[in-house]
Amino acid sequence: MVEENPPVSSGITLGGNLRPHLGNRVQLAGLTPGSASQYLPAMAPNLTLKVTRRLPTAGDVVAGVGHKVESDTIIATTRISGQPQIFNLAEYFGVTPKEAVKFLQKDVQDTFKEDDIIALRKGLVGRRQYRAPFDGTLSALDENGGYISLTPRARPYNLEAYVRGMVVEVIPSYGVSIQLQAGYARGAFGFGRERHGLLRVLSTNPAEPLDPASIDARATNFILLGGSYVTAESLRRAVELKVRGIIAGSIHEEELTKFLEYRRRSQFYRVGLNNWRFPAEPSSQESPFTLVITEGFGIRPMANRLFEMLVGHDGEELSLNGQTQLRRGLQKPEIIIPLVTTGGANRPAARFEGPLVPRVGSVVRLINPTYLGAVGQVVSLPASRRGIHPGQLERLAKVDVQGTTLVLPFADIEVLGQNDALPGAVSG
Amino acid sequence: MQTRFRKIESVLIADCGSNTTRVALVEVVDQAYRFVARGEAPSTLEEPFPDVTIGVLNAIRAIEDTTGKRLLSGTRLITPQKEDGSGVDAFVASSSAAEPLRVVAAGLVKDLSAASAARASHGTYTSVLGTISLDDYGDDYSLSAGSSAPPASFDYDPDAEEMTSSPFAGLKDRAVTPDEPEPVVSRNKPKKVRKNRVAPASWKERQVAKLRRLSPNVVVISGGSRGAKSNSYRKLVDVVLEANRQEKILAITTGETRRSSSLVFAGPKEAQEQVLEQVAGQCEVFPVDTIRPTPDRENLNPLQAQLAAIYQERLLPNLPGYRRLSEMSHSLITTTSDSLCLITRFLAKDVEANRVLTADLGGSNAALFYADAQDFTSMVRGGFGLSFGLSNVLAETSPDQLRRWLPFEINDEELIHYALNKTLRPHILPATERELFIEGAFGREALRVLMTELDREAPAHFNYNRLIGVGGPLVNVPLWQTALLMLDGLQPSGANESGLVELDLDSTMLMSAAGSLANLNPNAAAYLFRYDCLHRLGAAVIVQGSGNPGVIAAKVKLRKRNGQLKEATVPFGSIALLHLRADEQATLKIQLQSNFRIGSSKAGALVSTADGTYISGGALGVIIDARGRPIRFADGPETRIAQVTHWYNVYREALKQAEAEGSEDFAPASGPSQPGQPGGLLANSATDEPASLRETKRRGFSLGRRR
Repeated sequence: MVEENPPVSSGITLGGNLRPHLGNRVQLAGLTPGSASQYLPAMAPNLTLKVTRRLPTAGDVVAGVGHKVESDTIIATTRISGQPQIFNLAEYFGVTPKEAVKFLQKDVQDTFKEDDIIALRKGLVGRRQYRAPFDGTLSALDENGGYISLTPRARPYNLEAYVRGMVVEVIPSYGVSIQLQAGYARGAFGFGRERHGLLRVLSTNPAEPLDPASIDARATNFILLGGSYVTAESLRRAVELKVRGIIAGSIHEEELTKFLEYRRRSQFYRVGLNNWRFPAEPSSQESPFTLVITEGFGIRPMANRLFEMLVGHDGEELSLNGQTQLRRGLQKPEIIIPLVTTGGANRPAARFEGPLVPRVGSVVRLINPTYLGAVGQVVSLPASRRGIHPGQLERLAKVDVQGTTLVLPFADIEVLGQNDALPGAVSG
Repeated sequence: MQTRFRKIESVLIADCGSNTTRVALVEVVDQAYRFVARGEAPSTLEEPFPDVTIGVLNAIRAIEDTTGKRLLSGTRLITPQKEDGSGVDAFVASSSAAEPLRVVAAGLVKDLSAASAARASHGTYTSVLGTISLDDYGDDYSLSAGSSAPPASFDYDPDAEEMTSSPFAGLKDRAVTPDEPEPVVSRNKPKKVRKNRVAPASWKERQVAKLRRLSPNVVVISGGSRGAKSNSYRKLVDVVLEANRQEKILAITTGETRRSSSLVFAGPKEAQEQVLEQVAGQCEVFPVDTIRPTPDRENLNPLQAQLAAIYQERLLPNLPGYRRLSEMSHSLITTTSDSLCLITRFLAKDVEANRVLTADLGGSNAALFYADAQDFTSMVRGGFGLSFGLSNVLAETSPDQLRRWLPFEINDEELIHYALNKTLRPHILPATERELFIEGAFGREALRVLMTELDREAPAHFNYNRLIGVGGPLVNVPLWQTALLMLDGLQPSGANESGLVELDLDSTMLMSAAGSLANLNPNAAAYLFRYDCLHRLGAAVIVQGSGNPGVIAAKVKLRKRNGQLKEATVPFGSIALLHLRADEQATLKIQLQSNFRIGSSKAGALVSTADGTYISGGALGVIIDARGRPIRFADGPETRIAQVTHWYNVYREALKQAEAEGSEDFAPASGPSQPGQPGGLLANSATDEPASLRETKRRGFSLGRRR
């Protein structure tokens, strides 16, 4: 009698503690790594960026220095083997490991097709066999434990440029650095791998939510811009209609957990080593679209500065990456808007000086929970360093938000720009 | 034998937290080690500055700015101290910012051995990922003995089902590259799908799968008093070896380096040898003394020491910039929890009858340490705190629990979003009163959760008479808020014999510094701790019992040594503050009403300070807490808000009353003492005898009881 194979024990480690693919990074071009000025601002309409793209394993780099690449240009290729799976032969045949090894029909490094017989035991009464669950290679053998390891056949993997720009550096066998003039914005939270697409603005102002009804067939393959919040329904429609990305100001925790299908909401709150734990890891490459939330959780508008910058690029191509890691390899979602078609390459890049410290006149985004999503302008920097926390000395800024003056610690504001009149604000 | 320590004139002590790096300068002043200045800077752990020493240097620069003393030349510390006074003789550091040790606790019986292994593992910064035991059914909680939900002491919720149902679950195949052509084979001849017969996984298979999924740094196997059957250990050790073996073969296949889980075996001596024999070099084993020498006694210390050592050796070096920091340092870099633990034990031994509970509330870690003359217990939780750890605090409490503490109406979403947004941006500070209150509510709940877990460890309720608050969230708020936060979160019931709890605050944030200094020079550490560390808030008298809200619980008479008399009537459900300056002493007489008692006194007794003894004051004075244990909240939301508002306003009202009485001695207690301003001996009662209240034996008293 021939027995069927039991399922091979999965070799995949679940949980949100896998680090996102850190081979890719965005930094300011032409600056020494490690210097203070390497720090990217929260938002800038025009920067010279250097985007490094790396393969997860060594392969062939196709692009060369000086090549102009589009977002979807393949710059490097390799083959990625699937996650190997291990199987205990000794247990399967009910013999000692040493004996089990003798039943093997393949050698280490032999390839096999699905359903090929890998191990066979002929007995007096019948035969029992172990058939391959997939195409692959017998990658290792553990004679002491009776384990075999099966690696699925390697699949071709193409690394796209992700952004439009010019290759300025080649990392042999691994990837390239691409330089470009671009608008840049950093989000607060998101998931989904690097994607690019054309922007479609679906909200008329930063306080308008992304209406699920407005996501229709025309949204397919686009990156959608919503103003304030997105709902689980919008996210589900985005999956149905194969939307590439969504940028929105905020998301209600209930909607997110509903979309991610948590049965108990409190499941979501647990933070692992460096991120929230999602079911099936949406920060990996599996998520169907890329989500970038710019402000945070709640029902909050998008910072109007940022919304205006994005609206200005309606219909243009942009690249975004939703991968988020909260600590130990901090990573925040990013939005990159290549400026080549709008003549950005000819425009001089805005001079960027070091980490942006608030100054009088700075336009700042308010990031403390009460005022999240609001944008104000620094009117003065009081000499006093005692805020609401009497024990903590902190640098404070007086910020004018639509006529109301608030005193906020530096930690609670993020500079978006300098010395511009705030739209609708009382000057002074 | 007397040990000679290096002569040190000046020392810098750094503590790298997950949010803030603090550096303290300690120098010899008048032949004693005194605190001179403190510098703070944001911790630098993440891109673009993944090196703790950058934050340390920034904090040192802040000290240079305030003192004018030159400490750095470029990015190098000037050491030893020069003739012109620049530089320091030594530098020591501690940190709480490294990632927690991932622990799986294993034992023979889930409720007993595995549970105590889990508790023991909370001696240093650990995440207890789960337990495996002989009566456990792997990931399937519905089959497990005991509850259907994983207990709160697990830092991760290993609910496997939750992980499989996902909107992304079916999308795996289109993952790698969207353009990849479909495999031709499957399209041309659709194969008969074979139904694999799913064999039910054995206990071992399920445990191995669970262990591999959790992928711990350390598996702690424990349990068994002397003479326990060692066969049972074999099964547990087998699981660990099997999981390691599977990881190893995967590592060979993929070429990745995977560190196998180490094994800490806390069992009887005979079993230790057998385990060593069984493992036979297949993985790292650390044998330690059993944690249950007899079925009813626990001894967690050897295991905790071993885990702390593993943490120090394995995890602490993962701190970005650890190498540079250890090059700067003159002694081994310690963990903040070790430093606090050392000082807590020192304090318990230093003063007779002192039983100390230290509560450390940080950004991503929180801890409780209890020590008396004989025993020591700790509960350290990694990833559980008020900034990065806030989301985890939320997961272990509920909006309803949080709302209780707030003097205003608030909906669930505001509380939840507060925690999630703070986790996204851990560095933000409260900017409004409301945020400060919300933060306070989270702090109370964090302490409550910790205390519940610590209590589970003790046979009886912890009988401490001194409570010390440590950490930014406690120090940076007004003193009354700090005192309330500690009283609300931990709900001390007062020492049995006196009914009193002395409240202290580590307002100079030197406590962990003193602990790290002790490695280099214990005398200096003791000096520093005695004179500059603690800020005494006062004594809290806990009136226990119950009654209708508003019924009088106690009548209090406080007579200062200068003869001044203060009286107060404290109704049940409220709290009162009698001001007594730090340099003042007084006698206290409390007439309890029936149903109410203090410490181990009889209900309705008259208690007072013993003849010739006095109660010392503090920055706040004497607090009479008559809210019952556990604190009872009024039923309706409006009355509850009024009740909580009253608690928050007690200090303001006491201040107002003091003004009306014309006594100008009410110290402004809006903030901790200025750095550099030593508290002085009187303010610091570390060396004082703990005050005590006792039931008066004189005749006058029986009257009260008869009534």
